[in-house]
Amino acid sequence: MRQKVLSIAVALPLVVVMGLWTMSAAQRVSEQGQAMVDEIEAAMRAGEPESACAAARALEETWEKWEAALQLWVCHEDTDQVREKLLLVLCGLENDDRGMVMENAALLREALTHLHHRDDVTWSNVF
Amino acid sequence: MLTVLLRATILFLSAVFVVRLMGKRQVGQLQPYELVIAIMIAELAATPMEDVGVPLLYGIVPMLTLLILHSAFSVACVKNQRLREFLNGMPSVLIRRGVIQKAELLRSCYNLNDLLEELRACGVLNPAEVGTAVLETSGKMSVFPKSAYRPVTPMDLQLETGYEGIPLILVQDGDVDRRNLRRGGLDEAWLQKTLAAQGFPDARQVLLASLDTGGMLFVQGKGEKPRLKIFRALAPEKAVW
Repeated sequence: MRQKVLSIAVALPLVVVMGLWTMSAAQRVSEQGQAMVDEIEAAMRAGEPESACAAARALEETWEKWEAALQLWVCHEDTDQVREKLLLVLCGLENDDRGMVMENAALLREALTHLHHRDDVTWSNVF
Repeated sequence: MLTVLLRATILFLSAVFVVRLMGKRQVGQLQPYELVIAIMIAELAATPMEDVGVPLLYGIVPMLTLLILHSAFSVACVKNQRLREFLNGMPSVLIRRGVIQKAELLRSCYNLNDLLEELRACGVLNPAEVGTAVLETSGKMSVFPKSAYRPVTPMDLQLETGYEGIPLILVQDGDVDRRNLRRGGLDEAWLQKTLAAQGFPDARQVLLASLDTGGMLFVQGKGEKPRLKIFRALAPEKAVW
């Protein structure tokens, strides 16, 4: 009996705290990433591809810092999507292809929002 | 491939740890909710094991969740009989006073073939010999013969018997079990002397030495043709563990 009560006392807070922390961390990374994608898009619309490139490189650096940790609780498929779209944006910037940059920036934003979708406590996720 | 090896090891150890924490009942007789948990743990361990893209936490966190639920249900069942009945159900008496209870059979969706099969599995060939048969909540059948057909007991013969408890394993595969020696109020010097007197000069040459509550010591040596000795090593009144 004591072992069972102890199991609940240890495992329950651990699981709850871990769940809340991962949810909040994924959301933070996603929001930060989306803000940086906004910067890239704004720079492209303003006709400033160098600023867009700098913003994309900054996003790449940030992503590299976060990716390994995120993969502990986010499916690799989802993180790979972010990496793939980011590379396409950078590719578009290097080739001066505005259409490619804008299209993949939108897809990159979508991939970033998807990072925390699985973790969010919503009716659609629960059911 | 090495990654898969490591992940499989981690998930296996996690599953063993969780099942171990769930206690002996999980491994033995399974109640309905315990059976569900056993199946789910197997499934939870398998998915992240096969797919390196799925984080290990997707297997470990649900296992911990099942541990929490199992522990909570178990504690609640200990405290509350109604909840126990709701979760586990009630045993069904399928044969009472030697009479097959058809209504209970129907309620349990048990047909006569199933009943006879279970009786045979319990070592009863003739249903006429059965006094009581209970279908337990784990699905196991408990069968009790009529008193005329059960084995004779010392009580029937009005014989006095002593206490028969768990024997102490003193030597196992050459290793002396000091904890059991202490439990029996004995020491290694006594053990060495007793074994030597029976032709076992070294405890390392003993496969098994077991002392029962009647003071009888069973000793089997190692080797191709092992020596076997059963003798009184202790007075019964001294076997007090």
